Amino acid sequence: MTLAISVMVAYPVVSNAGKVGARLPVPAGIVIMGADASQLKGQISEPRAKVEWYMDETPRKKVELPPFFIDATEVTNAEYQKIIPDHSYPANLADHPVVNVTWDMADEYCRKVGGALPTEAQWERAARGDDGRIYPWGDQFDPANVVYMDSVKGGSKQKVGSFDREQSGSSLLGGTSPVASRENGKSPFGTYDMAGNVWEWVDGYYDESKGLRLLKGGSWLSPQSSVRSSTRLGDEGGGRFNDYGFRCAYDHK
Amino acid sequence: MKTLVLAVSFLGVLAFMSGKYIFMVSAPDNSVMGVSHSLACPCECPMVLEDCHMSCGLEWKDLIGDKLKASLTKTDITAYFYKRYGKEALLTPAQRISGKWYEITRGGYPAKDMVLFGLIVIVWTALVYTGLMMIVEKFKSQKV
Repeated sequence: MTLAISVMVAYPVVSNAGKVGARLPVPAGIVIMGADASQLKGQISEPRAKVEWYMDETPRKKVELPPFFIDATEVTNAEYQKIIPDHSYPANLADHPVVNVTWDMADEYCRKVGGALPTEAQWERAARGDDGRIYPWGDQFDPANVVYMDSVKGGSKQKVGSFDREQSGSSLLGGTSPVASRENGKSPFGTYDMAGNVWEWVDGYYDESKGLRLLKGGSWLSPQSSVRSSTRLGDEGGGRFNDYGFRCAYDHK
Repeated sequence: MKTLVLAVSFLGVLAFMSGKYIFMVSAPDNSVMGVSHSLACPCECPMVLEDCHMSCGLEWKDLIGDKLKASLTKTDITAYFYKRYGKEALLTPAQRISGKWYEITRGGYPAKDMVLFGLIVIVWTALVYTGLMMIVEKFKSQKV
């Protein structure tokens, strides 16, 4: 009981009513993308992480973007089922981000709702605001603002990968949290969970010659260094994992 | 003196063979076994991924295979696993030793295998010792 109360105090459950399905405007402006090698040395703080693993973020650059709209939250199971009726999910995960979706499935959903997957520049603009901050809420890491590997476990009780047949279980237990559960973790433009919860497919490639699509934002399984907004992860577009989801972007009309 | 040399040789060979088994990569870096040598098994067991044959371990090995097919290097793949799973995917030297020990002993303590391993070590030690003594004797006789 004491543990439950202390957990609730540390990570207050925030209602996501009115946030799911909201499309937020992002004004035209200059997005600061990536990071320089010298900055990375200060940002990659875990003892066992190597800066060279994150060098795909370099160099830091500025890109001018027109205005656009973007989903306030990651697409939830309930939202996804409205458009893709075949989608099924446990009843208690309606407001959790949809997972186990390939890049094509994510792209199809966004097109059906009149949008598209955000480009990397749009995604970083929505996450980092005008000042190119490291995390959506600022430059200092705060574990209370993000669903990541050291967060309280037990969201959707999922396991790594799709180990449904695994009887012994995995040592990496945990799971997604309801979207917009970290009020203080939102970005300057009001978007939630751009750090952690699930990796988000974005438009474009990580490495087109190798067929690798791009994911941003880190997940409930990721370490601190991977929930920085400039982190890039490349994976085959056909990958379906319980830490991969998405959100959509829309033209400014 | 000879006993001391014999004991040091024995311990040296034992340490070398154990270290080779635990730490040295037995497959090239562009193979699933070569990459999984550096990663932890994601299942409940404390094994090194290369020794893990549970479905969760096999899933990670399949992932490694897919990445190798896409021409990613061992460094790229290790980075991919770290970005997704953090330190849980990596091994400390202590975890590696404990994983290898678990691999050997998970079916109980294999007395026959251990005796055989001991005999191999003793034979190797004897060969190394004899070789050393022959070289020493040769130098001694040359001096005289």
